[in-house]
Amino acid sequence: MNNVLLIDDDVELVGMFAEYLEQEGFPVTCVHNGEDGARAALTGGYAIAVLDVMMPGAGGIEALRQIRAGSRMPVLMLTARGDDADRILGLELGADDYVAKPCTPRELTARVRAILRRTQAVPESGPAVVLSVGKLTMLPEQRRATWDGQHLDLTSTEFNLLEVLARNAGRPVSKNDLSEQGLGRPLARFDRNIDVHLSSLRHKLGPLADGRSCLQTIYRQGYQLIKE
Amino acid sequence: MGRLFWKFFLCILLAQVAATIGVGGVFWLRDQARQRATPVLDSGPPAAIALDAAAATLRHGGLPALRSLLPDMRRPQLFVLDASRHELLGRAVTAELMHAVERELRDGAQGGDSAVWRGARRLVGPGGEQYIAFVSRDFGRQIGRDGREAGRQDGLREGAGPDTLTPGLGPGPGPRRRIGQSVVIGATVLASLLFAALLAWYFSRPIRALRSAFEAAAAGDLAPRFGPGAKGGDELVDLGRDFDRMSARLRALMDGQRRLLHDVSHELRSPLARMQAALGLAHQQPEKIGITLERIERESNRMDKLIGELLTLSRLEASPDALRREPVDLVELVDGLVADARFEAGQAAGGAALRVDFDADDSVNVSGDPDLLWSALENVVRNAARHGAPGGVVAVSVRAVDGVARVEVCDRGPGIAPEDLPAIFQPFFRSGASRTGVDGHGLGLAIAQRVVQAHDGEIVVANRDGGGLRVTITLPAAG
Repeated sequence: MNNVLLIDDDVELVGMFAEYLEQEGFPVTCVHNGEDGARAALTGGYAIAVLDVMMPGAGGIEALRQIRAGSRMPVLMLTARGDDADRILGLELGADDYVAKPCTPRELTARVRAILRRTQAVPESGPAVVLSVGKLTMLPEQRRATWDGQHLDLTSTEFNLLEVLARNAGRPVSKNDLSEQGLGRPLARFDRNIDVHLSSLRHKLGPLADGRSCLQTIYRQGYQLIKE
Repeated sequence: MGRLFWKFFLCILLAQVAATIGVGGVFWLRDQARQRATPVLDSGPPAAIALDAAAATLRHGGLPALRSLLPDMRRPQLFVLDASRHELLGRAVTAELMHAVERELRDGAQGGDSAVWRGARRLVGPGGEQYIAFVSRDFGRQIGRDGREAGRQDGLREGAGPDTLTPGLGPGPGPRRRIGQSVVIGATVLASLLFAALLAWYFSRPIRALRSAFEAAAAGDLAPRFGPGAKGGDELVDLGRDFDRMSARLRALMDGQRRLLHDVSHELRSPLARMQAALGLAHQQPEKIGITLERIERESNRMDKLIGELLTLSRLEASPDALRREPVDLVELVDGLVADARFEAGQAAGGAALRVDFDADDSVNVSGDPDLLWSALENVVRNAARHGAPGGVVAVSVRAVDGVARVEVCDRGPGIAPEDLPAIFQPFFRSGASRTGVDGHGLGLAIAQRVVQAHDGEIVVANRDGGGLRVTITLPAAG
């Protein structure tokens, strides 16, 4: 399933994006306001939602909130170039990644494809791999993670980033590696994406026995998942 | 403490010194005058006590006792005259003093016994001899030129008394009184300095606060600083409030400009995003290049129109007075616009959807810039045709009433939410219903308002009874 849901109030623009994506092999549905968009996203019939967070009023942000309240499906935000406030808010609300408008349809398609590839990674053959670091247990094939036996509710991007860190547990992972392996794209300049996702992860993972967070920032090197 | 503080301080100090000198001078002069006009007799309580003492001495000790008492009483100085008007100690008594004594005795006789405080009294000796006792206010200056007592008294004052004691010692209370005086003077000066400083601080403080507020404003911080808390107050408090009002207005203007800039960049980005998307499609499907080029052309036209409107708006805001003034016939102008609207409506909806009614006087002349008036009215008529389409009819009328040209454009569309009405003339404002799907940037009414205002006219937007919107433009008619 690789149905794409496009939520944007610019009818003409969405029409062109849809045309392009369909040529690339993604079935597309277009919705032109936040409420209908959130409702459509929550039907579960879509692999990814592309959401314009700059829709009039609080339309876009509110739709994102509603989607995240009921689903962990990947959400790609369209934001205004240079408008950091919306972008950070969107990431904090659980969007997986963002594309700054104006963007070329090719850029958008590449981003959609990267997210879908990550979230729909074909299970490798062989016995099920279990990543286990301290209290954290991850089952990449099932895209499930637990902390101290408790199920963790992670977005797909958060899962990917945590998986990268877990595979390299005890070693610092640079932000660029995290971006390439977790988000499927190189780190952009002044990109706060990774930091926002990791801050959210830190809240979701419990503290270590000594009260520290198990996710440590290593100055100028990146992040590290502490191996006990 | 700035220079202003010191200026205040010095002024207040000067004023205090002047006042002190003035008041002191007045008191001194009065004192002088009183001294000159002083009754020569002392009639105060000490004098009464001295007279009582003299009476008692005479009664119980007789003349010798009184005689020996007199030299001892220097202050107050007691004089006693015998029946033949000779002073007991032989001191001279001036005629002036005698007059005063006689007058005093006469008054005392009229006033009866109550004359306790009188400065002269008749004394009766044990043998029935009559004496007159009185207390002189002038301590032996005219009296007893050769008396030892007077000499002692006046020694210091005249500085030439043969038997004067060491001048430094002087009469008993002298040095102590002088110390007391200097303490009082010092305290007064200190208090005056303190009050001057306090007052200067009190006056210069709000001015300093204002100054720091201006400095902050110059540095770009326009936050309110004085607050509405200071009620009533003087002119300086009012000034602070005015400053707050001014900075609030500036802040609003700057916020407006910033928002405008933000909106402009956002609005320019939308056609750009569509152009980029179209270009992407052209890359993907080169065979559809024709459609793509059309799209790009449309978007660049939109951008051009938006920029044109922005320039008009900015020109109107920058110099609303620099208008061309020409006679313009509004009827002719609106007639053309209505024809355009009819044509477009016919094109868009197959000719049946929208009716545009036009009702006008023969000619209504105003003086103004035809291009600007045309664009203002075009925006209004287009808006009506666009939003009023569901209502099916747009009514336009042009009338001249009482020297005022009035253009009314009414539609039966959805109207505007009452809470949005005040904001409708803001650039880029689009009310909820018209936000999506409709072409236009939300600059039309903003331009119309500024054009009309530049022509000394008025534009009013109101919802109609029964649905729809009425835009009324009034302009001063040309004579």
